Amino acid sequence: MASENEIIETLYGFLARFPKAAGKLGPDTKLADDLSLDSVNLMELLVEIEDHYDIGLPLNMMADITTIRELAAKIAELVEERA
Amino acid sequence: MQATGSSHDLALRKADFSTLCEALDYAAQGTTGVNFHNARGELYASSTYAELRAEAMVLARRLMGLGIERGGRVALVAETSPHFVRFFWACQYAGLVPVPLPATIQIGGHAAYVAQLAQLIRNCGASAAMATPEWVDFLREAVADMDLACAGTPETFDALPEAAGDLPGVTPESTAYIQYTSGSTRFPRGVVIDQKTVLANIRDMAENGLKLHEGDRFSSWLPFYHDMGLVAFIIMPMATQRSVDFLGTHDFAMRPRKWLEMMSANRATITSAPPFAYELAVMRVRERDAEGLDLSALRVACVGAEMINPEPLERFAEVLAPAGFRKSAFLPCYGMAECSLAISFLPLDEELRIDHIDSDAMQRDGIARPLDPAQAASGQRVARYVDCGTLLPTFEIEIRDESGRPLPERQAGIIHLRGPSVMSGYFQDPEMSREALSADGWLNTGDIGYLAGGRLFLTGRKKDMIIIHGRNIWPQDLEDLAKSNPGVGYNDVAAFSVPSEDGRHEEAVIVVQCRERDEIRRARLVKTIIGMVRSEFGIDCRVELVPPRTLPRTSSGKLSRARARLDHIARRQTAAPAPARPAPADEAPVRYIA
Repeated sequence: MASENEIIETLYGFLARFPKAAGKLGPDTKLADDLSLDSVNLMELLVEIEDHYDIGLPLNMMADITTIRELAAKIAELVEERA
Repeated sequence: MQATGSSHDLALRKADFSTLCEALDYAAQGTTGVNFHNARGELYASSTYAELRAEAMVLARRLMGLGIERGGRVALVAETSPHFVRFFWACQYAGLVPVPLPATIQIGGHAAYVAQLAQLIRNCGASAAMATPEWVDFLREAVADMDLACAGTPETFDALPEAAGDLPGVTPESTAYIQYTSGSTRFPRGVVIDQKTVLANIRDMAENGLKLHEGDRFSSWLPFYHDMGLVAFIIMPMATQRSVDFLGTHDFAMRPRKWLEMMSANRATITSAPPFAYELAVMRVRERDAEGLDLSALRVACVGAEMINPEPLERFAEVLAPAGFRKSAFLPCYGMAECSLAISFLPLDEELRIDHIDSDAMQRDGIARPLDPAQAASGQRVARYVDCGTLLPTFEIEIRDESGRPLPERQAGIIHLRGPSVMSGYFQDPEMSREALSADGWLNTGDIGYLAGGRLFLTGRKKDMIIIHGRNIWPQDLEDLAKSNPGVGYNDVAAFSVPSEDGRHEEAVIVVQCRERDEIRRARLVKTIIGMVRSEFGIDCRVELVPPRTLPRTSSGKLSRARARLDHIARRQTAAPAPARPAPADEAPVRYIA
């Protein structure tokens, strides 16, 4: 099972595709405020996460996620539920 | 599970009904219906109109039991789900007015979304509110201090007792629904549409714009809380007894290919989307994917909701040609919630047509003077506008100048419309309604355009409206967010949109008059405003800080967003001279947005 830290590392990989995220990645980086991801970018990110971990990330779940660490924790939870 | 069929023995009636209940009573005699597809593109729910009607009537009796007065509002968080459709029709039988509310949320946007729901529910004075389990926690939070007859999931409503007695039903003059025209949390405008009004528009679309026939089948991922999603894909298919396939908006946004697959698998003939959606879809489709798709049945792909840039459409047509997609299926159209939905369509089977005009004449005098290709090539400044086709026959149109005088052919001005599809007003907002609707029934659309040879060309959007990815955003909302920061005064902000640097999209700009000298605090203010806009609207914006008294005002002291926009563009060009490129089409109408 992927640990939260491993997930964070994987997320860095996904986020590397967005030039505006370069050099700003850390566990407490805020996805919206620090990385300036707009809704189209966010969709691209969610697709990568869903495909990689084989989970569904409902939109309403994103309402309470601000940082990369929080996103990773949510992914870990969903992966565990699936297992 | 099997999807409902595309054709049946029931004779096609093109919305010639006096109420939506009468329309559903008729559709229920056939075997067509509604079909819902999940994120993987699999069919997960399917109901014929007969089943839907029976379920809606049971639910209507439960709603009746709540004792809500006739015409009372029922707020529905409009996620793409079978429940929404059932509740929408149940409200009609129960004599209640459904009010679709947005089901969309930004990352970290919990508080902003709850505030938006609360504002809209208060504005429409809802007596009951429904959200599916995924959304109900937000709804519960929003209505915590409100006194509603019932608020909860479909299950909550389905546990209510059924009332005895006749269903109240509706008359042609009853309100069919209230449609909020923007995601505005601060200045909501609820367009009130009556039964006869929406049916008149659908009849006009079905007979003239789309020329519906027996084999037609609809397909959509558009949100149910948008006029196009609601009117063109929930009400129109029902009122013309056609089957429809739905994909969730979020599922489309994540995997646009699922839309194409759904149309291919069900042999859809009619779909609709804003231009950016075709662009998004083609970005995610590889050439070999196109070979697995069959879009040969698709005869109408409406394009509307934002200014049309033809290039992505041409790319879409090219990439999907191997799938049998025909470029002539693209159907530019013009419409708005205030007119139920549609106003004009390009005639069927005509290809997209662009009017090349002299950009200088347009900017100087508002005259759309055509240029021949040689002139266009010789470096004369060209503005290009897409032919939005002919008016639906029930509409009267006048292009007027600022003082209300009618303008001649090829002269741009404010589009005014009159006809049976026009709204009765904005909900409980007589002042705004009077501004938009004259006593003799003319609607001032606020949109700018010109007529040429019976065709309508749109050159500018609603007064000051910011349109990004097909979404309408009111500048007042962005300004209000900026003003909520300490040190930013009431008169210190102007919001508008400008073409992005590559000229292909619009981006929002907020200009803020700022007295702060400290660079760190200035940077923090910019970052805060950008963050607020993102969490509420999910868009990136540009924030420019300017010295006090920079923003232009009209003689009466009102903020002039149009001039603020021109000043901003000028400052940007001085700061970094833009590379030479053809004048973007939407620079031309600037003077009319004043």
